[in-house]
Amino acid sequence: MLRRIIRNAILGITRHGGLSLTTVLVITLTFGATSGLALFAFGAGKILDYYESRALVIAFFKDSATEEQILDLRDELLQRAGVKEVAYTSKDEAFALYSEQFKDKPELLEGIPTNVLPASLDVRTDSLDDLPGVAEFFKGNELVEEVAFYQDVVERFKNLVNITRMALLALVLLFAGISTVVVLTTVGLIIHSMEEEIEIMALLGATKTYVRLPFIIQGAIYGFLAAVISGGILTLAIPAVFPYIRSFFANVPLPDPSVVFQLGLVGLEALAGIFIGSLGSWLAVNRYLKV
Amino acid sequence: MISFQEVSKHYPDGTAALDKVSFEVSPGEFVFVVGPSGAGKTTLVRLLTREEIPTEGELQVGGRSVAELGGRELLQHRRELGVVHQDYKLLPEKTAFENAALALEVLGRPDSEIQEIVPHVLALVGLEERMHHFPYQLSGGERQRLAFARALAPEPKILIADEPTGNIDPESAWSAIKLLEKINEMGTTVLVATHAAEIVDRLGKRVVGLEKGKVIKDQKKGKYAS
Repeated sequence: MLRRIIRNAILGITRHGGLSLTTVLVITLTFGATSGLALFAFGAGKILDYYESRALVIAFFKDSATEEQILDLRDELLQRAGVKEVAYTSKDEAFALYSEQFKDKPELLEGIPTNVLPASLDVRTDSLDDLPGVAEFFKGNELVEEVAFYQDVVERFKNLVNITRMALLALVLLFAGISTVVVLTTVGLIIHSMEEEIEIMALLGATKTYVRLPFIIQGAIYGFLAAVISGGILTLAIPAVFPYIRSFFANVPLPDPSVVFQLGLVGLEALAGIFIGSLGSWLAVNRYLKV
Repeated sequence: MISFQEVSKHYPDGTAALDKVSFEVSPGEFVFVVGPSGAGKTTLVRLLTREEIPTEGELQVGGRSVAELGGRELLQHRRELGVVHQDYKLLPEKTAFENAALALEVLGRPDSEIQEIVPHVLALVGLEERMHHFPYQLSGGERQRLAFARALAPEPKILIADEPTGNIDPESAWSAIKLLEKINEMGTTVLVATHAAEIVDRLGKRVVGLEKGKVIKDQKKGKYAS
């Protein structure tokens, strides 16, 4: 019986060749647009993560602070929840950095004593929300000369990041919703063209399952094919587009999309395609199974 | 076998398609239900197939109230009926063989049995040479015979034909009716809804006359007009 149902599903696809092709292409387009946007949102999220992680608090120390005292403070900070990274820059290292930065302008280096620049700790946190606490931590310390933390800039950046993330999520959800509706409607249209077949099968005494299954399999095959095509195109497009994205965000360490990631993407789309395609068929067949 | 008891069918717009129709059909009988267009013949067929249910009265087939059939019982009821619809209801995307096989497939008959029965019924209606043709490649008469083949394939207890001669030439119409007579002689109950007066008069079978939804006559060896 199952063999007959599958055979009928495949015949349904091949005998409605033009409609089947149109259906697969429409679903491919909507899936492609949605997954392309989802990938863009994912990449944008990674870039935002990076810039978020680059915000820092810098504490400049008084000349009286010894290296040992500063390193003790660093160890204390590293124990603190939310602190991701603490980098110590000694007075000598600070001068070396300064010299390197202005090596083409020797007039800026002339006559400057090598110990004029203060030692400092650069603190980065997991979240922007943890930075004000770190700034407060330094402000109460007598070894600290000055704390560089631009709270208003960080707050504005944080708001921008949150709004951007929410907008991207909303856009992806909206596209996913539109995509689902388009797929349901497209599969529904092709089932509509088989309304008479459904009615006749019901009048001949076919069980509802026997009527539904070939159409559900048909819908699943449309969804699967469309998902594999759109996923395949994206998989091919990612390595082609990636070098351009990387060159644009040169300082962001973007990892190469792995084979597992790309296969996962196609697999996920295929599952979504099968699910939405068969759901569309099931809903449409039920509409015509009232006889 | 078939029993209409005071059956009425009223539509929401106020049309009375059938009005207190009562008659019975015994097993193995051949009955013409005659009347002009709009007399209620097709509604009567649709009540038998349970595409519609009566507004009043009771329709029984094989002792079971058709309106109360549900689930498995309804499937069983439909499987016991062979129906030739006025528009044939053939599937355009399936070949003649596949259309006839459909009635057996839904019953879950094995492929081997289908391969044996379908050519046989197609030969019975004279379509053995056309079994791989699609309905659009068949003439009107051939399409009608294919509808007969599909209705006959599962060997139904009751064969119902709604205007089976409506869209074909007189010669094909007569051979279709002779086919129905032959099926009836093999023991199948046959109910034919028609307004083909000449055929009804030539055959001299039982005639139930309908007009404006009412039974106006029920004659053992009837004529269309009398």
